[in-house]
Amino acid sequence: MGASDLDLQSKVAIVTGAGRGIGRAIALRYAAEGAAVAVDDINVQAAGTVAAQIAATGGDAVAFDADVTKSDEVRAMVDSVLTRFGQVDILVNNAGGGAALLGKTSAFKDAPEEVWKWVIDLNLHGTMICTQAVLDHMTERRYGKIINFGSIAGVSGLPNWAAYSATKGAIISLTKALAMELGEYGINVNCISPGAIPADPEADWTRGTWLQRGGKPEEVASLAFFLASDEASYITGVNYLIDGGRTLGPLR
Amino acid sequence: MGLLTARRLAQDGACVVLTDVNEEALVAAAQDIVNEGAQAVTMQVDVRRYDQVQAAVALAMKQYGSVDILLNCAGGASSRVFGRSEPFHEVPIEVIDWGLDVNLKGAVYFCRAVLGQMIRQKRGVVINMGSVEGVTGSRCLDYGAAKSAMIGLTKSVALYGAPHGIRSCCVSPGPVLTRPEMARMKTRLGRAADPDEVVGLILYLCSDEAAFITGANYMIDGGRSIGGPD
Repeated sequence: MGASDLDLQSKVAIVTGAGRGIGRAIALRYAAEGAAVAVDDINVQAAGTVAAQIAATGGDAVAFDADVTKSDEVRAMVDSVLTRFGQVDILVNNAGGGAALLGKTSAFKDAPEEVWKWVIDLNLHGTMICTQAVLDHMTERRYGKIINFGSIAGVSGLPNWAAYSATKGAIISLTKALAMELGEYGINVNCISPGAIPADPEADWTRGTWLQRGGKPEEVASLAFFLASDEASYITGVNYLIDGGRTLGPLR
Repeated sequence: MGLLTARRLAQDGACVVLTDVNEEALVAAAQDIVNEGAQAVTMQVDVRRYDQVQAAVALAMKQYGSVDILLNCAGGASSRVFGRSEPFHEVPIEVIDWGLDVNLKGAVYFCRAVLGQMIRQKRGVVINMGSVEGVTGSRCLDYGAAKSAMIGLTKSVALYGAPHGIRSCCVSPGPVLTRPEMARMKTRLGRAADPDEVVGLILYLCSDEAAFITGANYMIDGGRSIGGPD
């Protein structure tokens, strides 16, 4: 144990939703720490740009456009990563979002069933599909780091984001159940719950955050790096908030 | 864990003020750090005595001119420290007072003593040591209560300090091999932690990498607190 555990040399990571925002920052950080990274995003152009950026700095990355809600696409991606790199050490289930992605934010009473089911499919089923796709491999190797994404909405709830809040709460519980199932295989399963982290650095998201600023994707990537490192080997089943104090309650 | 954290902070370039009730242990620890070429001073402090707590902060200011990090690590289960095995309702009240005072009041005292300086600096990190037993409950009732209170103290310091650039985080470890018998406590990972693993999390939270993390309680317990059936 020591400083040498704090890098990802010779590790292989899959990061979903890695074309922008937090996922992109994680892919870049993991690559900078020495990991080979599968950069997955349904926006194949965005994934390609991130992978190219990693390659340009001497890192190892491959872009994928697997849709996390489609088991066959996810399995094909995992197979391809295993063929190319021989292993998967880290899975980051970052892909997700709310009805806002469809421009359909609304109170739950007005939310179309197809919209809230789409949110559940993307966030919860997507996380479960990607996780299941790597588990045979990880349990066999008796090594793995699975990092899920909750949200402060999954802890506190967020009005007009009911389906999103529900799925994020579910992911926090999923994390605990899987940590129980997988502890004996040496697999750590943890959850990160960010607060307001604008993907656009110009966005003003300071409202309600005690540190009086929005968080940066790089700050969340830093925590995702710590949890993926062997320095964090004793941490499992947790939900780590990174929210500038937002869940402490309203500013007064 | 307190000593290990101090040593690694010193290795990373921090100047450390070590406090403990045991002066002999303190002096030896500081000497080790100084021998490694880093800076350390000591003060014998009983965290239950505000005058001594204040003196330790004054020493930090005199020696180094600022207080950037406070680690409230002093503590322990009173039943273990005093070797008590009777039921809680028969434990002498002095033992319970010791448990509440050392595990909680001392941390509040230290916050009282450093926050003025941290506000003047517009910078600071307060790390409070909780415990898995502050989340799951404890056979030592005063310990369980005090460790839960560390989570509340952390949130309150976070609220108080945020406008001044001060963060506060709580670290709640499960069984750590600071004593061999800890290996008997069950965890989902089937082992107790090496003390260095907990220190790694403390150092991470002290660092600027954790600049957006405040008011949070970070478990590091091998999955013990997620509970559920065996």
